[in-house]
Amino acid sequence: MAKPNTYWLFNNSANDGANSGNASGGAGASSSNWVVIDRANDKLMFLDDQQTDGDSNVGTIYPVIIPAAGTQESDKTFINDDSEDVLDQVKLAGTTEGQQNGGNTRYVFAIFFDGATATVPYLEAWDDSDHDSVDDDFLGAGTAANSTLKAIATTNAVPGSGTWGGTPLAGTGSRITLDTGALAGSKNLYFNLKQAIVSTFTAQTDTAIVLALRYTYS
Amino acid sequence: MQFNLGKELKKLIGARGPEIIDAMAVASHPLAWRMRVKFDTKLPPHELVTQDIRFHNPQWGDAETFKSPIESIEFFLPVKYKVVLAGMELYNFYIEVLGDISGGGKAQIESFWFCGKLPQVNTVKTWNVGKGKVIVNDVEFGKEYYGTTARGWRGGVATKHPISTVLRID
Repeated sequence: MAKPNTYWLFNNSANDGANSGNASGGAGASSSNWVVIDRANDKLMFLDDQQTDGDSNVGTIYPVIIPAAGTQESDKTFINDDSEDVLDQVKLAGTTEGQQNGGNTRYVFAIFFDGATATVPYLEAWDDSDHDSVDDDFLGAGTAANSTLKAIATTNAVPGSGTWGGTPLAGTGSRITLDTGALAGSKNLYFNLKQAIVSTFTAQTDTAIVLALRYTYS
Repeated sequence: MQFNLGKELKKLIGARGPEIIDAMAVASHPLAWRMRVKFDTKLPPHELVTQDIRFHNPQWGDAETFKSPIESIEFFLPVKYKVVLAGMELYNFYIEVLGDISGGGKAQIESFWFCGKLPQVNTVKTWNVGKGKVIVNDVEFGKEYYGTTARGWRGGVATKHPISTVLRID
């Protein structure tokens, strides 16, 4: 099996349908709409409820506000679309505790593989593209359980709850498998993602954390 | 070419090493980052020598190439050592890569995995080569990749004395 190509996509509609366009995205099942993420220039952003789908990415950005008590899910999820210069909302991301259409939703983010793998693919998060540390406060500052990023694989089923907890992402110590085993051929793998901030979290000015896909071929 | 064993290597491979090493030793390392697979067959091909597997298809998925049972696998490191697996019931090989949602570039190679299932027991010897390290482990068959199963196993010629070691190349 040669090295498969992988394509990251997100559903920017509020309709929970599969990515039938595979690598190209576009109109999907159940009137969903899939957009290919430009991995060189686009960015994933968690923002406050004041941010609106389609806002200019050079206009006002409303960051997430740290809650006064307890834990709070970030209100909205966006892809900062560099080519369109807009914030494109990922409406089905997160749970019902956010301020969009998330919940028991399955078709939110997709990674399309155009070939087989030797082992199950993993979704991970790291401090940066060196992939050798998980010290960032957003990733729990060394305590994986405290990572603010939580993910759940939905390749084979919905999360099962509108308030799914997910797995905190931090390096190889805490990550998710995106399927039940190695891929026998081309396939879309799906996951949902949220950010949960605790009241004790310290405001950050900058971060270079990355979501990463680990897979194998032979 | 006779290969002289140091004390450390003798410990690693045991007394049966020399005759096996004699057949496998090479003079230098123009084969760095290449894999050599020897087949147990009277018909060609008797072996496969890949190109540099960092940049080329390692061909492990080519069923026609791997139609004969495997006698041994060698992977040549760029530091005058090679990983050797021989006499195993089954073999597997895969390249692990990691790619980001941001950052643009293609997924980068993290490591190379060489696996050999020992005959008659449910144990796999795994060799993980990457990031300047070579890590060897014994794991349960079916849990050879971070506790999960791998596909792509190829049949081998099991022997009473399978080899799983790293050897110096002079």
